[in-house]
Amino acid sequence: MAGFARGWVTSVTLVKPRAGLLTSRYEPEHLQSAMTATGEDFLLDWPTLAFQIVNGVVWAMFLGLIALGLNAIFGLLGLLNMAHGAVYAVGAVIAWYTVNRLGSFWLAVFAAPLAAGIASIPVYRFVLRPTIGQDMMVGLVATSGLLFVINDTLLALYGGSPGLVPPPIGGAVGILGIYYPTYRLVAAMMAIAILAAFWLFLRSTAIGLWIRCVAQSPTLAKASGVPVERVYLIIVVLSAAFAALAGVLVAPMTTISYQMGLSVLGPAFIVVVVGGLGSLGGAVAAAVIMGVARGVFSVFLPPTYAEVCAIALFLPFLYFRPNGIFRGRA
Amino acid sequence: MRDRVGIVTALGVLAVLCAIAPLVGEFWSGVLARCVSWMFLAISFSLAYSYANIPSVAQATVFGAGAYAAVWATSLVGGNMILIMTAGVAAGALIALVFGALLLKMSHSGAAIGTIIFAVTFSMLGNAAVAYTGGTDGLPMPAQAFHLLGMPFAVGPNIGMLLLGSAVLAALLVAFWLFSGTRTWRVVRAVQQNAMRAQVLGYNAAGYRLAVFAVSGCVAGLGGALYALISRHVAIEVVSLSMSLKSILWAAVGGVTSIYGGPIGVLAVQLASELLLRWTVRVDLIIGLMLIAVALWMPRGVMGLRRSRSSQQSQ
Repeated sequence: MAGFARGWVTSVTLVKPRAGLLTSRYEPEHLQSAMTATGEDFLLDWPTLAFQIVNGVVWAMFLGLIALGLNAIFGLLGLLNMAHGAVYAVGAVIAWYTVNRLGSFWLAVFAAPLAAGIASIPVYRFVLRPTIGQDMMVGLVATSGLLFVINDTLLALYGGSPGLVPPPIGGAVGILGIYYPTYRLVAAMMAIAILAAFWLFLRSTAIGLWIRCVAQSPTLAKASGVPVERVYLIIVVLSAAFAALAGVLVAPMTTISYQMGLSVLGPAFIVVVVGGLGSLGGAVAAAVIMGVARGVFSVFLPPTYAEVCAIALFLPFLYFRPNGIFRGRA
Repeated sequence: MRDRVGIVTALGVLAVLCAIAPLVGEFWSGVLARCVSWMFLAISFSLAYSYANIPSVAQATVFGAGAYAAVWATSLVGGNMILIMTAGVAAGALIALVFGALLLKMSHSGAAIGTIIFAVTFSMLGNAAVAYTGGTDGLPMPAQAFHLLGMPFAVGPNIGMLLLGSAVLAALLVAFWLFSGTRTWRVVRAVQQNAMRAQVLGYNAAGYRLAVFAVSGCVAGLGGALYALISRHVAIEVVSLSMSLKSILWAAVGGVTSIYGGPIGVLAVQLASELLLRWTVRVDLIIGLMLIAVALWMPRGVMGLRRSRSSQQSQ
């Protein structure tokens, strides 16, 4: 935190936290003054808008990472994974532990996805696999059960008090005429790299080909010799690892709590639906649109209302394009 | 078409609750009264899922709308309980109609996701709009001289509210049982089983689904209003996603395909939770494990067990 603050104050003064992802910890002073200004003296300056747009794009990368797993599990296993957000919270809590108990943030970047991936194997074997192919509600009930179990376990181990993780990289860099925290950009780059790597993995490896085959027709894939069960397991493990990693990367930018996963479920699901169920590119594009919209709204509104407005912005899409705006390109 | 065993079982459960209330004391009467209000929520989920074909993960939002409408209405109309409950029903119907209009255009799974989005969004909105909802602290029911049909009535977690809630629920279940033998209900079932075929046969499938979903909203709203009268306090927790998931658990334990299963599911889960609270604070963990167990080993719930047994016997 100290490093972040040292770098940041070279350009703008840090001000008090407000609630909400990525806008909760530190805001440049001009943002607060812009938001507290009312009526005729309200002036929207470029740095304010640029900061929020960049913030929105950065947030979109993490949202894309979370939605990726949600989308993959729905697209392949046909399950609405209600516990996905809870795995994201697990990642953030692991980051809090490694920083506050072991003194290393980067350890969490490796440990959290690994732990989530390993833990997801028995979860798949004993909870998810029996629900595949059954009525959608069966999977929904099972994953809701997982959500309760994970949340309550987090409450028992981590507690109910909110926690903070200092950014591991301090300073700020100039971008679009503003200074933006370096860590957020690095974390967003990591998220982009993972999304790109997953896309390459899907396009250029045998397992990626299997995954695409199973997504199109599990029966045909099975008849062609594709190990469908193994593909399902890989997707569950990767989804859990991605969600946990997103939690780790977001941890230094928000307030950590055992229930933080619930608040990302809504945006993540809307991104999946608007992007088109089963469409990776669509989900990322929808995440960017939502992130930018949320950023722009947060110039004028408190974070929660900004988030709600960004979601409301997508409601016409849900009505007129219920199968997603990018469905045709999936 | 009429499920005689189902209605007798559900009414029997309510009758037993009312009979034991004087014996178990005021605390347990209050617990049971709250359980009765949640039975409306469980039944509304079953209606939405099994008959409107909308797997709604936002029924607690509708329930919460009814509860808040009851609190707001009390400030406006005083202690007239009929008007308060009517406000809850109207709020539930309105929210359900808005949700339903959006959800009907979506696929089955898309509608489920849509309701998750509604549940999370309204929960966030409710938390932010503290001036109207009281946020996590909630809003107390305004102090009024409550009266029902001209007679004074003591609201709160007491035997009187348990009897009132049970009577309203029993009337609702009997009305549903009578309605389930009509020609209109056969059309609802036809639409639920194959909306496309029903549409081709000349029925307004979307209209029927929306109407059933609105009715499920009325039921949830009525339950919410009763909950507000019983608890004398409504917090934003009642519209949370967790509450909606609990309603799914109640419906799933009782048997999601039968509205008569709701009362059994609520009683089984909530009484187990109340008893477990005496030994552990990890009740959510146990509820989670129960959800998983129900999904894996009893996906049709208690009512489903009865049906599968009867189908085995007929084979």
